[in-house]
Amino acid sequence: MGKVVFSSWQRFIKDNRGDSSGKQVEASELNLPDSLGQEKLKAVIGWDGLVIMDPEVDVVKATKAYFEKVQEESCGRCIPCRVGTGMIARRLERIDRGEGTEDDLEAVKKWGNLVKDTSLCELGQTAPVPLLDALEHYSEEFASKVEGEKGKSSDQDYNFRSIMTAPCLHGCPAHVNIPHYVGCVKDSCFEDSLATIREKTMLAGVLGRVCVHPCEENCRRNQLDEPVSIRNVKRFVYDFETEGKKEDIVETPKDGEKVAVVGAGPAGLNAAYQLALKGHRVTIYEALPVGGGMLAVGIPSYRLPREVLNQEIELIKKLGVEIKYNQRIGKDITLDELKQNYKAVFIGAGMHESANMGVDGEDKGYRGFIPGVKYLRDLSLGNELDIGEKIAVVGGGNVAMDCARSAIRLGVKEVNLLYRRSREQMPAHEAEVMEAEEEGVRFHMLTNPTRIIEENGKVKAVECVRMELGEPDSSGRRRPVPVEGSEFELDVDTVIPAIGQVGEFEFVSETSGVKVSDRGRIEADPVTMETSAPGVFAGGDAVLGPSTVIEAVAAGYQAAKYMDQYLRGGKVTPDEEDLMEQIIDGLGAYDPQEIPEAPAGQKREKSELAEVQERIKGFDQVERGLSNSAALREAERCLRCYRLLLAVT
Amino acid sequence: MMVSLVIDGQQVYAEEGATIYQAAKQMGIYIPTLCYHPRLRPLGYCRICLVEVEGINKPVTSCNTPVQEGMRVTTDTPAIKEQREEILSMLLQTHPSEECLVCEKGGNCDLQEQAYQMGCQVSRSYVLTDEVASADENPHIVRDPEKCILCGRCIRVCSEVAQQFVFTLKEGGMEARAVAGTPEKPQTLEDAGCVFCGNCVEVCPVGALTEIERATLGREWELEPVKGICNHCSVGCSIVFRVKDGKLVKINADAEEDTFGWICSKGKFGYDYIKGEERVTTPLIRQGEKGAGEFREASWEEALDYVAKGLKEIRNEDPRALAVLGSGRCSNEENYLLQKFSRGVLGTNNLETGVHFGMAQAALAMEESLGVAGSTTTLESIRKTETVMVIGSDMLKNQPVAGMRVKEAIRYNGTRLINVSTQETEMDKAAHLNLKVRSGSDLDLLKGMLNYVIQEGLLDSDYVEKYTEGFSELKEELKGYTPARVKELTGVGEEDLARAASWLAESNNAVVLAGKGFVHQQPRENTLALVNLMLGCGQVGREGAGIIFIQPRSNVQGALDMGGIAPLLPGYRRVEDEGDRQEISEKWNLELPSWEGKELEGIMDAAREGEIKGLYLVGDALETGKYPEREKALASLDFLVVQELFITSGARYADVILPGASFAETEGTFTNLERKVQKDYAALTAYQNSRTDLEIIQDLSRAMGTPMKYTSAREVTQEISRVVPQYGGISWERLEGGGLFWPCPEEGHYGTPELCLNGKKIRFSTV
Repeated sequence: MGKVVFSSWQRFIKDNRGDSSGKQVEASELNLPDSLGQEKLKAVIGWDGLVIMDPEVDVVKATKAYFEKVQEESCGRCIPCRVGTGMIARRLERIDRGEGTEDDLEAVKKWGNLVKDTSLCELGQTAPVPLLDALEHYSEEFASKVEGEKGKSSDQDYNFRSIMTAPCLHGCPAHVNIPHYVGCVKDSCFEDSLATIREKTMLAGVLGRVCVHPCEENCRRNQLDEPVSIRNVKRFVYDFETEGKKEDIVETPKDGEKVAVVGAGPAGLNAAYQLALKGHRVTIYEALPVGGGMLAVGIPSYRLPREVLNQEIELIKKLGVEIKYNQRIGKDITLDELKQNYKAVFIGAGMHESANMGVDGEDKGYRGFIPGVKYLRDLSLGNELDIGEKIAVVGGGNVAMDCARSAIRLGVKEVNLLYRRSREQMPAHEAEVMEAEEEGVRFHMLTNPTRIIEENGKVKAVECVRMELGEPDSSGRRRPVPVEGSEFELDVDTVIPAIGQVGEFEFVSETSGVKVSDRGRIEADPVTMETSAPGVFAGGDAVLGPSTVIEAVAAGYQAAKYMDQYLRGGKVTPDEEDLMEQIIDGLGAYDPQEIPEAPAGQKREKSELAEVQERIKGFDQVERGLSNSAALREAERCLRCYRLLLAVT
Repeated sequence: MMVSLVIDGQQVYAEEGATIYQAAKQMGIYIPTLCYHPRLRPLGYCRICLVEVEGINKPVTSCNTPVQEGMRVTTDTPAIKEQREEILSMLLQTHPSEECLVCEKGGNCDLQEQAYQMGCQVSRSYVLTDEVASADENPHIVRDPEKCILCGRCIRVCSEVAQQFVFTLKEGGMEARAVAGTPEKPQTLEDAGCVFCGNCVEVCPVGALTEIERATLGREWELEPVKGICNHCSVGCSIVFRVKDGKLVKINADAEEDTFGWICSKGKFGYDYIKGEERVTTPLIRQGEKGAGEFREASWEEALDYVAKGLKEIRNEDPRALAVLGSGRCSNEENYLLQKFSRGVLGTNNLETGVHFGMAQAALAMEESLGVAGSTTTLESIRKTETVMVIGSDMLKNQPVAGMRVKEAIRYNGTRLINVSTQETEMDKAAHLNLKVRSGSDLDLLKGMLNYVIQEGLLDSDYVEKYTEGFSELKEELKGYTPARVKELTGVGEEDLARAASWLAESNNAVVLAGKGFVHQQPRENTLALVNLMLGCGQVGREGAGIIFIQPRSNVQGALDMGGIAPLLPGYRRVEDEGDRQEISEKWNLELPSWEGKELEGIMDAAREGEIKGLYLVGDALETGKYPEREKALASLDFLVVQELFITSGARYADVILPGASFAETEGTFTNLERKVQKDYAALTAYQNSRTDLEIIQDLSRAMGTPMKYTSAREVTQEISRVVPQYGGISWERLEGGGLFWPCPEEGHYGTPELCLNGKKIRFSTV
C-alpha cells in the first residue's frame, strides 16, 4: 500500500517528510488507489489541496502542469480565472525553467489569492488552493528553482492527466455535464443545454420528469439554502425545445458493426443510442409491445406522459436503431442466437416481477392479489383490471406510491398503504409521499401484513400487525419488530404488494458463458459492463437489482463506450476518464461539511402542481414544470462548482 | 415586497429581486462596472463590481446578487478597491492599450473610463497569446478581436434579444474568444447567421465591434446626438443620429436608460441613401421625351412657377383630372398639409397619401366595430401575453424589432406563437404552430376558428354577455365552418385549427399581430372576422390582449389619421358627410370638393384611360421599382410632378422633379403601429438645394395663389391638434417626454395605449 508523503486534502495537513518515526498516512486513508491503470500514482493535485505520494515528485513542475490544465479548462468568462491563472501559469513556467525571481514568487502568491477570492466559479476559486499549499509547504523547492536550479526532472518524466468534475456531475451516475447545461440556460441557449444532456442520453424529457436526481443531493447549495432544482431545469429545456416543434435528428453514418440490445428500457435505449451515435447498427429486442421498459409499464403517466417517452424513443429510432417488439429472449430468440448473429450483445433486461412478502396466502393465486409490478403494467398497457373499492398497497417506496396514487385515479374509494417502518424511513421521495397524502391515500405506518384472508378464492381482507422500532439493523435504520397481540384485520378487495422487484434471467443460458449470481443478477464489470462472456455486456436492473432510471442510463452509456472499444479494438480496458473517475470516487467530489462562501437565502423555484381535485380525475401530468423565468432564476442560482483534478504518474 | 438592507452605512429599501447594484444605484452609491448593461440580464463576468457582504468571506458581484433582508454591504473597502484595480490591471495586460490613440471608441470606451478612474498602470507588456483571425468580410461591422475584453455583452444580446446565436464563447483561458459560429468552426458573421441588427455594436463597451461606415469620420466626443424616430418601418424605434459638421456619422439605438430600445439592420445601417451621392440636389425640368429621363436643372422659382402653371391649367378645366399621391414615410405634418393642399388648393379628392389601401380598410373596419381605427393594444403588451398569433406578416424580416419582441416573449415568458402565412417566412422557425393557408382564405380560417371555439364550449361567455351583442346571429352564420370544411377551404389541418383556436381561447391573454398579407384581400371582412374571433375568445380590451396591425410603412397610421385617403377628412371625418365637410372647410377657410375621389389604384386606372391628366407624386408612393406596370399610367399623364430624393424609375416620366428632404432632415411627428405619436427631430439640414416636403407644399400653394402661413412644422402640429380630435392634446412640448397614444383628446390627457371597452357593447359583425 502506497504511503502519502504530504497531504493538504480537505484542509488537513499531513506532512510525513523527514520524520519516518511518526504515523505514516496510507493512501488508502484518502481512498486513493496506488496506481492509475498500469502506472504508479505519484501525486494528486486538485481543488482541495495536494497529495504527494512519491517523495521524488517535482512539486513546482506538477503545480505548473496543474495551472496549464486550469488555463485550458478556464471558460474565459471572468478576468481573474481567464487572465490570472494564465499569468500564474506563465510565471510558474519561468520559475520551473530556473529563470524565475523572488518577484515571480511574490506575484504568483498575490495573484493566487486574488483569483481564489474573486473568480466567478469554483474552477478559479479552487485552482489556487494547491498552489498556495505548495508555496507554503514546498517553499524550499520553489526557492531553489528561483536560485537557478534547473530542477531534478523534466516534463517528460511525468504523465499528467486531468479531469474536470463537479459535485453534481460526479453525483450523477451518468456524469451528465450539469454545470454546463445549467449554464447554457443562464446564457439563454436552451438548445445547447439540451444538446449537452443528450451527449449522455436521449432521455432528457424523461429524466427531467422522473429522475431521482442524486445531483441535487450533491449540490453545494444544500449547505447554503436549497439545492438547485436541476431536474426541473432539465425538464424545462426539453419542454422549451420540443413544444410545438418537430425536433429533428439526422441519422449518423453507420460504419460500425451489428449489435443486439436486449430490452428497450432506459439501459437498453441508452446503450442503443450511444452505439448508434458511434456508427453501429443496433437492433433492440423488447419483450413488451411498447418501448421504455419500466418507464412505459412501471411509471404511471401522471408522472411521465407517454408522449414524452415516445418522442424520445422515436428520436433514437431516427438515428437508425431498430426496435423489435414482442420479442422475448429465451422464447422468441435465444441469447446464443443473438451472440451468433451479432458482433456484440448488451443485456438491459429489467425486473418485471414483484418480490414476495413472505405472507400467508400470497402464493395461492387468490383473485384480488395483484403484484404491484403487474398491476402497473396492466394499467399502462390498458389491460383489464378489477380491483374493487377498497385496496391495500404494501410498501414504502416509489413503486408503492405509484400503485396507490394510480388507484386513486382509477376511482378506488379507499386506498390503504401499509408500511412496516415509520414515515420518516420511507424510501419513497418526500414529494411523492406528500402528493399521495394530498390525494387521499390512507397511510398505515408501522403496519405489516401477516396474512391474506380470502373467501371463495377471492381476497376479503388482509390481516396486519402493528410494529414498533427496535435496534438499528445493518442498514442503520431501526428495525421494526411486531407488537405482540396487535393483529387486526383490514377489509379490502385487493392487495397490491410493492416491496421490491425481481428479475427472471432464465434466458441467460449456461452455454452463453454469462454468469448469474446467487442473488439472481447478471455479473458484469462495474466500469466496463462486460460480463464473463466476451462481447456480452450487461447493465441496469439486470446487474444492479432494482435501481434508478439514471443508473440504468449510466450503465447503458458505459456499456456502449466499451462495446465500441471491443468492436473496434477487440479488447476492453477502462479508459483514462474512468480511471480518473476512480480517483474522484475515492476522494469524493462533494463535501457536505463545506459551506460555500456565497450569498445564501435564495429559495429554490418549485414546479407548479395541478390542483388535487384536477389531478385525481385522471392520469394527466401532475407537475407543470418551471416557468421560463423561474427556470432562468434557478439556473442563476447555480454556483458552477467545476473543479479540476490532476494526477501525476 | 420591499427589502431593507444597509449599503455603506445607509439604510436602503429595494424591491425584492433587485440586485445590490440596483439598490446602490438608486441611492446614488456608485459601484464601478464593466460587463454590466442595464438592458441585459447581468453577466457577472468582469468582477469589477465586487462588494463586501457581511458574513461572506469572499467579495460578491453586486450586479447579479439579489438583495436580502438585513444584508450589510460595503462597496468601497480598501481591499475591494485593490481587488478591482488588480483585476482591471490583469485585463489591461491583454488589451492593446497603445491603440487607444486611434481607436474609434476612444472617449466613449468603458474600459478606458474605468482604467482612468481607478488610476490603473497601463501595462506595456501586452502580449497576445495567439493569432486572432479578424478577417470578416461584411458591409457593416468591424470586428477587432484583439480589443475584445470578453465582457460577454455581444454574446448575450445576440442570444437574448436578436436570438440569432451568432456569437459563442470559445473557451480556454487566455485563448478564450468570442467567436462567430462554433468554437470548433469559427465563421464569418454572415455565415454564422448574423442579420446585422447591430445591437452587438450598440452594447460593445470597447472598440471590438464598431461600425465600418463611421471609421475616421469623427471622435466619439465630437458627435452631436440628435434624437429621432426611425423611419424604416411602423415600429417607430427611438434612435439617435450622431452628427459631426452637419454630416451623419452613425445611428444608435436610443441609449437613455429608461427608454433604451433595440435597433435593427435597417435602422442601424440603412441610412446610406441620406448621404447624397445619388440624390437630386436641385429642381429638374424635363427636356426631351417623356420617360427618357433627360432633365435640366432649374431654380426653385422657375420650377415652382412651372408646376403651378401646369397644375392650374388642369384644375381650371376640371379638378377631377388632378390627383395627389403621397408616401407612408412622410410625417403627420407633411401628410396633413398634402391632403389639405389637394382638397383645398387643387380641389381634388383623388388622393392617397401613403396610407396603404388594405391597412386603411382594416382601420376603418376597426373603427366601425371597436371604435378605434387602428391597433387596440401596444407592442409592450406582448410581454404579458400567453399566445401571439401572427397573421400575414414576416415581422422578423420587415419589422425586426417587433419580431425580436415576440421572440423575447417566447423565450422568457413562455409565450406560444401561432404563425399564419401563405408562404415561408422568417417567423416559421420561431413559431410553435405554423398554419400555412391558401392565399385569400384567412377569412375562412378565422370563421372556422371561432366556430370551433363555439362548438367546443371554449367561448368566453361572460365576456360575450358583458361586452357584446349579436352573438346568436353570428353563431348561426358560422355553423357551416366545420374543421373539415375549413380544411378544404384553407388547407389548414383540423388538428392545427383546433390547437390554434384553443390556444387563443384558453390563454389568459392573447394578441394577434396582423400584417400586410392579412389586408391584401378583403381587408374589411378579414378584420371584422378577426374582431369577432377575438371577442368570442374574450381577448380585446385589456393589456396583453388585443389586435395589432403591423403596417408596412413608418407612418401609415398617421397618414390615415390625417385624412390621407380619398373618402376621409382629417380625424376620420367623411367627405360624403356634409357636416364633416362643412366643419373642416370652416377650420381651413377653404372650399372643399364634395365628389367621390379615387384612391391609388383608381387613380392609376384613370390615368391610363386619360381621365386623370395631372399628378402630384410625393415620395415613393408608387414603388414603381416593385410595380413596373404603373409606369404606363405615368406615361399617359399630361403633367407629372414628382417630389423625391432620387430619380426613381417613376420619376423618369416627370415633367418636373422637386428635390425633397430625407427623414433625418425633417422635423415633425410620426404615428406608429400602436397609435403612438412621436416626435422626430431634424439631425441635418436639407441636402444641398433640396427642401423639406413641408416647405415645398407651402411654396407650391403660394405659387398657386393660395398662400399657407406656417412658419414651422410645429405650427402645423398645432393646427392638427385643433382639427384632428384624437390629437387634441398632442403638442411638441408634451412629446419631448416620450410618445403619446391617441386618442389624446385634450391637454392633460395621458393618451390611450389600450383600448378599453368600458362597458360599451360591441356588436359582432356578420361577414
